[in-house]
Order: sequence, then structure tokens, then C-alpha cells
Amino acid sequence: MEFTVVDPLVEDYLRRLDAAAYPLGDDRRGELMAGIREHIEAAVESGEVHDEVSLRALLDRLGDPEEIVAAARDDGSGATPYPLGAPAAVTYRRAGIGLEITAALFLTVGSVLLVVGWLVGVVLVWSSRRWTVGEKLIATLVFPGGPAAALVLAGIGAGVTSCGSSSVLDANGDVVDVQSSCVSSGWSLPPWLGLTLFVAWVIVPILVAGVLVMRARRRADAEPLVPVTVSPRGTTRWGGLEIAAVLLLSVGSFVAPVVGPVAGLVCAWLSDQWTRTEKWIATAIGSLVLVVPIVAVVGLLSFRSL
Amino acid sequence: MEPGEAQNPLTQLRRGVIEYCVLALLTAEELYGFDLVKRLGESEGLVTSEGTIYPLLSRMRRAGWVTTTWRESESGPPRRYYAITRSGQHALDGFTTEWRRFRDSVDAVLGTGEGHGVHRG
Repeated sequence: MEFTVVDPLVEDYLRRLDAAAYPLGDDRRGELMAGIREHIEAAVESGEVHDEVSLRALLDRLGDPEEIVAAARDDGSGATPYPLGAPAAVTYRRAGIGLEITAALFLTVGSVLLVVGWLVGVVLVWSSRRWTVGEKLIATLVFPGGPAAALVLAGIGAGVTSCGSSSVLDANGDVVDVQSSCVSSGWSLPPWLGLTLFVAWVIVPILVAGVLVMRARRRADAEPLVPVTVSPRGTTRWGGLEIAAVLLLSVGSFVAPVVGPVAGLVCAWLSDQWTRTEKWIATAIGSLVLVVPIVAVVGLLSFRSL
Repeated sequence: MEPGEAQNPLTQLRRGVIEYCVLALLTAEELYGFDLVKRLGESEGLVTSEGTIYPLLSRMRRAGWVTTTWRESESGPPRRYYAITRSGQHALDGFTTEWRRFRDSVDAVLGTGEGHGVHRG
């Protein structure tokens, strides 16, 4: 940025605002900070701010941090007529990123569903409004087929190498010799190429998924808070979505292995009744349900190939 | 707030009407924060500290008068656009009627003895 020299001015301003806004609470402070930061960035982008003088003018016009926070604290003080104020039964929480997390899960873990899981992930990625087109392209191109496709390819390479051993016994039944032989059909990669492919196809997608989810989180934090209707007794309500989530996560894997629990996870994260902690608990349980059959199948296959 | 605190007699008035000015700007088109603040700034004396618009927008959103959506921008990160809701439109309509009546009354009283032509003075 061309006016990096005067950046400390912005930093100082934002720091003062952040300190002044502390009494507002995390959510409203975050929203205020994001708004002001966006304003300064937009002023730079528009060319209005191009040197220290214009930057100082901009910060002057924004006003004293204390004054801005005072305006935020005016809520309900009577200074502003507020006939349509928020009803008391509504509280606010920060915007969730269920869609983005689900997308990342489908692109990585979900790719065990082979083409279908990955495709669902791609559709979810493109329906998110928290990622730029560039990020969406990266998400799509970095995961062709997803990590599972790499594992499957590796499986084809390794699976056709079968080893066997036979013992040669003498007349007394004692082992005198063990002959082992390995028959390798199909193809195999040189180790360095295999490792590179593994990193590119398995590790990189997972890292990219993590970074994209974190970016989505940051952007969601800058978004307006989401109203949450609190039921009179303050208890968690059970709607169709929540019941579906529990059913899919528990018995879903009997009906549709892998697909059932994944759908259950999607339902759980789409719920606006459950808290974040509850959703993570559901995710942990769901992952177990998801992983157990996979481990079982892999175990069974490797047992049979012995 | 103590009556003596309002040094500028227009401070309180400004505070009361600015959110309706925001709503009025949003009836024409959806705007993002920076644009909205610039538009308000084009009318003299409407906004003193531009930064105070952001808490106001946040409050209006929580009251359900405006909604926000993220949109891609050609350069830089996505931007948050504000749009007026039906409830916001309703509030604006109510205010507009009230304001005309109020303005005419004030003008009439202030204009006593000065004849005509003091509207929007």
C-alpha cells in the first residue's frame, strides 16, 4: 500500500477505538471495529486517501473514538426515538459459518463419498457469500476429487501388491525354510513422486480448507449479529432439524453408511437452536460414527488380503 | 442526558433524524457503509462525526429497519451492503409525515413577524 508510512495513524486510531469500545461487549465492539476498518479501507481504495494529509482528514471526519462509542451507547437512552426497537425476547449471536464448515468437510473428509461428496462440497463452496471468487476457484481446483481420491489411487497402487509366504517343513513337521514372495502387478510410483502427490493431494487441501474456514470466520465476525429467538423458558428447542440431526447421527449410519452421519452433521450445523458447543459435541460424535465403519472396512480389507 | 449538555441545540435533533435520512437514502438503492456516509456528508450539517453512523447502522439493523448482505467488490474483500426492510420503510413513511407537520409548525412559529419564505431556512 502506498501510504504504509502513515499506517501507524490508522493503527493508533483503531487501537483507541477498540479500547473505548470495550464496554460495548465483544459482539458490538467487533461489529463497530469492522465497520470503521472497512470505511478506512474503502476510502483508500476509492483514492480519497492517498497521503498522510488526506488520511488525517478522513480520521478527523470519522470523529473521536470516544464520541463514536458514546453514539453506540446511546441505545435506549431516549435521545433517539425508537418505536420499533428490538423486542426483549430477541438476543443476538455472531453469524455462524455452518455452510462454510460443511463445505470444507465435504471437500476433505466428505470426499470419501468419492465424486458425490466432493461435488456437494463444490456446490456448497460456490453458494457461500463469504468467499471471494478467487478463493472459490482455489477451493475447487485444489481439491479435484478431494484427498480421498488420492487415497483411492494410492490404494490401487498398493492393493495389487500381494505378498505370500509358505513354510517348508521337514519330515518331523519342523520349519526348515520360509519362502516369501511378493507379486506386484499394476503400477507403483517412485517414493519421491508418491510423497509429493500425497502432500499435494492430501495435506494441501486440508491446509487450504483450514485457511478458508478461518477467513470465513473472520468475515462472519464482521457481519451483523444474528437475532436469536429465545424461548420463554430459555431451554433449547427441538425442531425438525434437530430431531433429524440426532436420528441421522445415531441410526443414520445403519441405513446409509457415511451419507447418513454426514447429512446429520449438516443438519446439526444448520440448526439455529443449538449452541456452538452443542454442535461441536454433535460433530465429535458424528465423526466417530463416520470413522468407525471406514476403519472397519479398511481393517476387513487388509485382513482379507493377508 | 442533561439539558445543559447539549451545547449545540441541533445535536439532539440531528441524532433524532439522521436514521431516517439513512433510510431515505436506502430507498433509492442498496449502499455500503462508506458510500452511505459519503452521501450523508454531501448534505451540509447532517453528520458531524462520520464514525457515529456505524453504531447507528448497527442499531437500525438490530431494530429490523435495515438488512445487510455481503457482496463481492472488484478490488479488495467483500463489502457489506445495507438495504431497507419493509419495517424500515414503514418507519420512514411515518416519520416523513410527522416531520413535515413538525417542520411546518416550527417554521410557522419561527417565521412569525417575518412574513413568508422561511421554509427550509
